[in-house]
Amino acid sequence: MTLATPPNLDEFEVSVFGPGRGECILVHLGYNEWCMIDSCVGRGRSLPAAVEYLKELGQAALEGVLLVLATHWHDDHIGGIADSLREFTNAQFACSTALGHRQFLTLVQLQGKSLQGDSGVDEFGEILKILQERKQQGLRPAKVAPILAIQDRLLLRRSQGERAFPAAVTALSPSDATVKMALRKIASLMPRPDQPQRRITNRPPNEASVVLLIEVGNRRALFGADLEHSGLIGEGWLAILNSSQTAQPAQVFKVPHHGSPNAHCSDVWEKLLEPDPIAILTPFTSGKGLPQEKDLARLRSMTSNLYCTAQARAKLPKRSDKIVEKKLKNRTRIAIDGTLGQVRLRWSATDATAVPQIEVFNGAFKV
Amino acid sequence: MPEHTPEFSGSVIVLVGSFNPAIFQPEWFARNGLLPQGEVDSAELQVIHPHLCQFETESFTFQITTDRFTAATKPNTIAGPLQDLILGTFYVLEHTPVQAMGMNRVLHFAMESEEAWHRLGDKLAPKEPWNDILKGRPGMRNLDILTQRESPKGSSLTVKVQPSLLIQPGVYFEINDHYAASGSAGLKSMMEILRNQWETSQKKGEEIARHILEWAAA
Amino acid sequence: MPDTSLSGQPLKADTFDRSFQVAEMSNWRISPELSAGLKQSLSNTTVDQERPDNEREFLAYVTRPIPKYTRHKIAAILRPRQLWEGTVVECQNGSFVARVIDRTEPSNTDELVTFELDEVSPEDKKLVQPGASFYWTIGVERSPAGQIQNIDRVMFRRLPGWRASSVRDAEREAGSIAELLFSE
Repeated sequence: MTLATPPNLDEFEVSVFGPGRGECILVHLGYNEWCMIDSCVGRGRSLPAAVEYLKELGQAALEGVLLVLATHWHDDHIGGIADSLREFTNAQFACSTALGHRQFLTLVQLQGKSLQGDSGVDEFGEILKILQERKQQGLRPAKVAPILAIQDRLLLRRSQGERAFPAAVTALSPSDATVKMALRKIASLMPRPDQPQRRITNRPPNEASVVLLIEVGNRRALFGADLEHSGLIGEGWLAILNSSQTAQPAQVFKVPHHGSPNAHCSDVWEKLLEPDPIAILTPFTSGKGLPQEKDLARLRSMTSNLYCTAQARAKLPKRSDKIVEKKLKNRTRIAIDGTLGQVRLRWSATDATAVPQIEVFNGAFKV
Repeated sequence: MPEHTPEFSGSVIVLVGSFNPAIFQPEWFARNGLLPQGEVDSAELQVIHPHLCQFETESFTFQITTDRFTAATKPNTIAGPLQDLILGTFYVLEHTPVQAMGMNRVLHFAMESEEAWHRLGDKLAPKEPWNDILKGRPGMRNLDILTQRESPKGSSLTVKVQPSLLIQPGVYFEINDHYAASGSAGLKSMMEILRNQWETSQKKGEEIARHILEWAAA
Repeated sequence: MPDTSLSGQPLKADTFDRSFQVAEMSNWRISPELSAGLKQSLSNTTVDQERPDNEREFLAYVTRPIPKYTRHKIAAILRPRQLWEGTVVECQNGSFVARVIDRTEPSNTDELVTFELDEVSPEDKKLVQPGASFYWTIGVERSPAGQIQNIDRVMFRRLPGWRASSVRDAEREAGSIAELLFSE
């Protein structure tokens, strides 16, 4: 089997890409139907990672993407998402309820006029343009109106009548309370008249992050986005745990927020996941870098099947100009974009006895 | 550093429209947060008149008449601040009527020898048939090449090549990237182009000059 | 077609050395006395759309060489060797961290770089806020006296504040988009 071999029709696939500018997850729901969660573009590449990969699998794969979801608006999660939506002509767009609110739309429109260029919410501006174009083209409402994700909302379903095994994509967050928090934060980002024009920089916490549960036949995967654990009832992971809608434990876990301790909730591992699940994470190469060694140690204590798409530290570029190198020598610098690695899991959705096939590409590794 | 690095270079933005030179005093730029106060305080005023305003600061040179606004960088400085200055100025003066905009790049290159300098001139403007009819030593003094774009309508690129007066032997390139506004949204459309095309335009100017120099050397 | 090149200037190149092409006549100055005299002589000038002769004469008068001039002091000339554009991500005590994008070699990775606040000019210090952007240049500078020094310079971008009308326009557009996308 090579990278370009498509999954079987009854195979559940989770491919995690990162880091690039962003991180990206592609999920095969069976029957050549796909869902994309977030987006990233590898350094020096012109196409988003998901588009590149699906093009390798063939045109049918591009047409098979039914859902493109942005878990939150931070630009380290949605690099190239607009270009992806343009390629995936059959896909609906979904995002957190907070981002469909008029306040956020105003922020996007305003920042789109910023003299700075590259405002931090430009990808959303492009998404809105694409959706408006689709409306003008007279496409059906499902392809125009975004699906607004909120706790326990079903975003996509394929029932057993339509195919041999069902598939469902359900949002487990954000909760009502976190939507309100997110809207307050968005309101605080709105510039006042006369305030200097500045870029919007990503600011924690990521309370409006969309966590997804995807069920395909016998397989269940929990995608943690960047949701953090505040310890407060009604927020973050506690809101999900307290929901009566929580389904059967998942076998696959996309570790939230790059393995950081502030997104770790032990109850998630105990109650929402099967023992020794397959866990995948992408590093975050900014700041001290995530995951740190102690984070990996903590995660290794939760599962023996831990995979990471790349090393947490990317290499700084070497420069041939000696004057420039000399000046940079005493600076504290961290490279942000590493090599775009891929962890690919394929698992029969119908055969309960099948073992998962896990492959790593381009520097991804088993921890 | 790429081969054929200019010895001197600069960027100039020209807007054609309707302006009030009297308001464009250095202090106005400081008041609107477009230039630092310190730079404005040390500005060298040349003319402040209802029909003409001309002054220099540490970073820029300005000349404004009733129908023309020109701002230029100082030699060999980065071009980004000029773009910011114009975008910022006409964000504040959002109702200024503008009919056209030129994004200009000027470059002076040293030639490795007089022979190379002559070779460039001969290739661009062959001395035949001039030698037959003109006495003395005819030589190329100026060459303008214009290309019209299909879109946007009214846009064009003009390349001027001259012997450099700053470097001998040297060659001077002036690339004028011209856009014409249409309708009442003239300023908005020009600023949109400036916002999106400035970097590409400046790089294109350098690319054109390098291409000609490489071609002449081949 | 209106001329937006340097040659299309109403004033001759010798009074406005934008192109730095005119070496000998660069940066001529209008003396204060001349300027005052010109202002006085034009106090009765009327200008109509067609640019009358008296204004042309004025402009020609302005551009003619003045008897005394000093050669413009050639400012320091910078040769940039590396350019980044940065955005402040975090302000710390006496320093700030910025995400920088390589503008000289765009295929290079973005970086997080720490800068000391003292590297920023006193006037720019107040601009150092999360989201503010700047140009970071490393290069070689030649002083008017011909001295060479290596330069590592941070210059914050100066952009005007938001207009109230821009915010109102954005609100209106957001309303239209919501209406378009979220209604039946």
